[in-house]
Amino acid sequence: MKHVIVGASAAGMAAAEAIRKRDPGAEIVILSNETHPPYYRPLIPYLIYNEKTGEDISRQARLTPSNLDLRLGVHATILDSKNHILAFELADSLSYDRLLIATGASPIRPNISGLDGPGVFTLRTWADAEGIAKVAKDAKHAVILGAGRIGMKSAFALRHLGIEVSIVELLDRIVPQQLDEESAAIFAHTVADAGIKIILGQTFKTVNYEGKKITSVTLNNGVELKADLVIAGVGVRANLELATSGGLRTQKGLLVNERLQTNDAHIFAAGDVVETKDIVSGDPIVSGIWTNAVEMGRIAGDNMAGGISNYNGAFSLLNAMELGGLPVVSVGEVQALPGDGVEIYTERKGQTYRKLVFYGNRLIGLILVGQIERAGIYQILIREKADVSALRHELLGHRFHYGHYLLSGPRKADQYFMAG
Amino acid sequence: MFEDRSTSPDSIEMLGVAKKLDVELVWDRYAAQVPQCGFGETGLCCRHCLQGPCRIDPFGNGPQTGVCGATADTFVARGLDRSIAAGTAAHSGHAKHLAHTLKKLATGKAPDYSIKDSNKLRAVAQRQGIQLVGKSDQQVASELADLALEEFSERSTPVGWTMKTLTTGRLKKFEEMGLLPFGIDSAISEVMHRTTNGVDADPVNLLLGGIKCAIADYDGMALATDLSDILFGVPQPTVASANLGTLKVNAVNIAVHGHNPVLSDMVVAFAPQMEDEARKAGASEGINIVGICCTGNEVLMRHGIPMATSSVSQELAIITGALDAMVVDYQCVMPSLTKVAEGFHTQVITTMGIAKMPGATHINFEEEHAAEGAREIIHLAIEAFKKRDAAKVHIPDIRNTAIAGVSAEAVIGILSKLDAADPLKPLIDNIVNGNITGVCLFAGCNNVKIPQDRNFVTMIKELARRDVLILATGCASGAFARHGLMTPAATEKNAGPGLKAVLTALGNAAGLNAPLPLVLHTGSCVDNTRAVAIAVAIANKLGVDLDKLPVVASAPEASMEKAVSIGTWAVALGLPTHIGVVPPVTGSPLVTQVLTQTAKDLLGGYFIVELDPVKAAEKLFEVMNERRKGLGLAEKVVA
Amino acid sequence: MKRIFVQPDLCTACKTCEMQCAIEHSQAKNIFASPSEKPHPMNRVYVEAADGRKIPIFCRHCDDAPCVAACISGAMFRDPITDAVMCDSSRCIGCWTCVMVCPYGVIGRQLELGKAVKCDLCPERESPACVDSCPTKALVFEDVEKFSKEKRASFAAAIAGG
Repeated sequence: MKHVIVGASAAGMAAAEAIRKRDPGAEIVILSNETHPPYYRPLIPYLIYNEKTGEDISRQARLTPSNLDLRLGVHATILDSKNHILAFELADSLSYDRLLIATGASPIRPNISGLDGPGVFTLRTWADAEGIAKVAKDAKHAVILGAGRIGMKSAFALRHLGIEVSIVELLDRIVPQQLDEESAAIFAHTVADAGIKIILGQTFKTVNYEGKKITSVTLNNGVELKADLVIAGVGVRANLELATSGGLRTQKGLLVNERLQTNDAHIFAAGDVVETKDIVSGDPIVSGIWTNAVEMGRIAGDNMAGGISNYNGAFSLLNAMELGGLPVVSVGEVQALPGDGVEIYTERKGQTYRKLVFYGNRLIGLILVGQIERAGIYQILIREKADVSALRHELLGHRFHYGHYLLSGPRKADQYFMAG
Repeated sequence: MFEDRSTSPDSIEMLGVAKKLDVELVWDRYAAQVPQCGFGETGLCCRHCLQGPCRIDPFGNGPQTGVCGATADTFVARGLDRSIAAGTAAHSGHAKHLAHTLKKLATGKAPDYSIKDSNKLRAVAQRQGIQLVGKSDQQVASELADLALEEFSERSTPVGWTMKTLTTGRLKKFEEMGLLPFGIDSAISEVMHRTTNGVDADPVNLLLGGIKCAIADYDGMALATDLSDILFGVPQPTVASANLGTLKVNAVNIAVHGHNPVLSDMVVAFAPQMEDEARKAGASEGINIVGICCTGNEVLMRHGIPMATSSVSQELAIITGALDAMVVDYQCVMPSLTKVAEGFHTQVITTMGIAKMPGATHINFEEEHAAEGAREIIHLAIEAFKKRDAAKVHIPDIRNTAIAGVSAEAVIGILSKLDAADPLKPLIDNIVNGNITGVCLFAGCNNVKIPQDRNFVTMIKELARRDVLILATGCASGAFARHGLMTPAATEKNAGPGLKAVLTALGNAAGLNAPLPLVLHTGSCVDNTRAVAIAVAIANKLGVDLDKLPVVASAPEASMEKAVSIGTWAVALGLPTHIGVVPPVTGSPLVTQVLTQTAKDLLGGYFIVELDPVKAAEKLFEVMNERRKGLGLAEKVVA
Repeated sequence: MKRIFVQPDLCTACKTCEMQCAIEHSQAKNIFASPSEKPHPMNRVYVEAADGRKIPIFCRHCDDAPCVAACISGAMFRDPITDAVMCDSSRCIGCWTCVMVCPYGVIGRQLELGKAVKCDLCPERESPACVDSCPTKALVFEDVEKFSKEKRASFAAAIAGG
């Protein structure tokens, strides 16, 4: 069986591992359009300020399946699904028995004057980070469009280099997908303490140049910010070109069934390119989360190698991070508003914040700031759509632990306490 | 929302405030300790020598002896003995303090104290064998103080208060079993000796040693109550109030907390002289003293000082933001008070050289300069009042009436209004005719492991319904006061028909025009011997020993080592004694059996461990019926 | 392939396992010196209580370990020899994704280092410190295959992977 995987990031590598596990003799070809060896994408901000080397962020041998035919710098452009052939940009081609499309997503560049010019970066790849690092060496002022995760990570990285950083965000708070008003307010302090300037409710009007050198950014309100480096971090779009060329069905992302199979039974898909459903709400989503991509890759790979694994959907929000020394975990429906069966519990103590979103007898959303210990058990309750009515008191307390979860289900408890 | 922490409405309200203010309380600290170590819980941890600590595996897979070879039985018995010794030491310290105060008074060194009850002084002195003829009160007091101080050291004869206050039968039994201590402190010391490495390893012998020490505890407590009454007056029924709602917005609020009236009585005595200073500071209602814990009981029963709250909820008094000073002496004072007070203006004032606390203001209280000390304390409170932050004041609007101060003398006094010649007769008649099933003395603490007061309140309702006469001391009485159960109304509502009839007759005789309260408040926790005095009088009148009476004791929320020693002497005296928490003895089935069964054969009294308050009441009721049967009385039947 | 098996009904919650775990994962490796070390030695096994029962909570070294799958820096990995799920501190960036996905809540945060810490089955020892120190033998370290089915039935928290 010959497996071809397009994309060597989270989903592609997880799929390769799953295939190798189920079928030790399978032939696995994995293609990457990047020239760098497989690496941990979330670590690229560290390259900007030399906190980590390329070696540090590369996938280690111990986490790479054996006998991979890894081909770097290969752009697969045309899919001939009828004949199971994949054509490359440079006139080469490859046949497959099973194909995994894990082409990921690419940053969006909004249609703003000058945003497509030189000196404007996105931060998606190792190469992007190297590009930013090169310019950042001489930069004094950077302006970042978008206060999402990428925007924040970029900002902190540039601050490490002593660059004056401003972030411009159209919405009314930072990290708007992951944080609510209250937690964003906590992080606004952390970010300000790091010397990062936040400008909310604004976007770029133009990026201004002198020749090929950026001089400033003009905002919608006319304010002009000095800049010699601009990063746009306003989201990504699924890379659907290859799938489309093969006649695969797409909407926002590449459509798949529960086994992560496309409408062509020989072709599977995983990662940021896939349109899946939100595990909590059931709505269609394209997830951009590393953890989700790994899980999809693992399931798709297992199915490609003859296993039967189902994917139940992704969390559209499942993020943990630390900004300026303060950790935060956000899971599920954190932006829900109270009413219609939704109940919200919040608690704030200094820099600690807890938000639990209940829907009927279920927990559907969680934000923990500061104290994030044992967040995984909350996450499981959300994922399992568990009836948490008996756990309400413990959930709101500060010592919720696995034992509570265990005793909430008689079966689980029996298993655990079999000796008694 | 805090029903797992307290059932007292004022506590519950303040728990909400504490949560909002994010103040860490005893319940939070307990939660942080859970799960607690099972070796400690079962008594199977020994730290009595430097070869340890040793543990014995209660499941039998690990070690079954300590390094020295001591078994689980020995571990548990030694541990229990040391708890009894510690409890005895606490009461001993309290009693000695009073004896020294009496001596100083008698020798003119404590001019701010006086003999408040000459009759009691002379009665006690006479009972203890002091010749009274031709002697002034001062002389008698001096001799009595000497006699009292002798009780503590090693004597050639058994301790005197015990020998003069118990039934002949009981004393004979103690003598036969070798349980009579020859000095209070010597008994404590003996326990420390026999429980150290390489001395007593026989669990039953150890338990007998513990009981001997507990009898010394009885002795010290009886002595302490006598001397308190002499120095500060025999309590008489007084109408007061309870709960945190007794704090006043417009007054300098001073809480006296701890145990000994030597301090608190002086604060109460000198407060009136400071009223002007308080008013000048802006407190339109002057000085408001409230009590916490057993010092609260002392000033409640003698001066009608409101009982603000009890031991487990002591921190909540500070959370009201209206407490200007917390004046403490010793025992049951949480070291956390100063930490809690950090967020408020409250002055935490320690007064005893042996009981200081980091973060507190220490004013060394000496009986020789009591007035000075009391004034300084009150002055500090007034100064603190000036710094009170009105925005932080939250006093729950919850107050209950509490009738307190029903000492043995007061009980006899009331009874004698029904039968002046034979005061005990009406009480005995009503026990015989079944109007009263029996008597239960509630004592002991609150325990953080039990929602505050839950066991007390549940049990009293179950027992009162079954016509059981209820006496209460210590934090038990605090609990009943805060729940409005020390009132005639509580009798109307909760007492069974027989009990209601008796309490109504007594109440009318006492001129109340209402029944006596459902709970008769017999004092602070050091005052448990007041109830014994009544029981001994009844036993002597009936010509039986204490272990035949339908009299039981219960400490349903016990927590302190003092409760362990009290419970043990209650058992030694022949009382079935309920405890509502599991003591650290279950690691030894032998010790557990001796305490709960064998003791019954040996002494008549025994421990009943029952965590469920309803079941506990049922068990105590059954026990009283068993005793009634033994006396040839009709068993009580309750629907 | 050996695993820690737990018999919760023998647990007294003395927390000796927690303490010995922290000591084993310290520099001095002794009770007298370890507590004052910086960074603070941390335990990776936990004893909790619920409903009055004592509940030891240990890492299961799950077959499809969510922490390994979720790790965004390649720090979490499965040891090829012991098959234990390990955290490579040098790789860990303290993003806490593992904390967010561990369904047992057994991944701790070493705040002074900003690193995740978890049970590593004490690779330098023949058997883990927690097991060796358990005074009631509520913990055993056994080969999953050798551990008889009957015996296993009496042990809770049968570790995945067997």
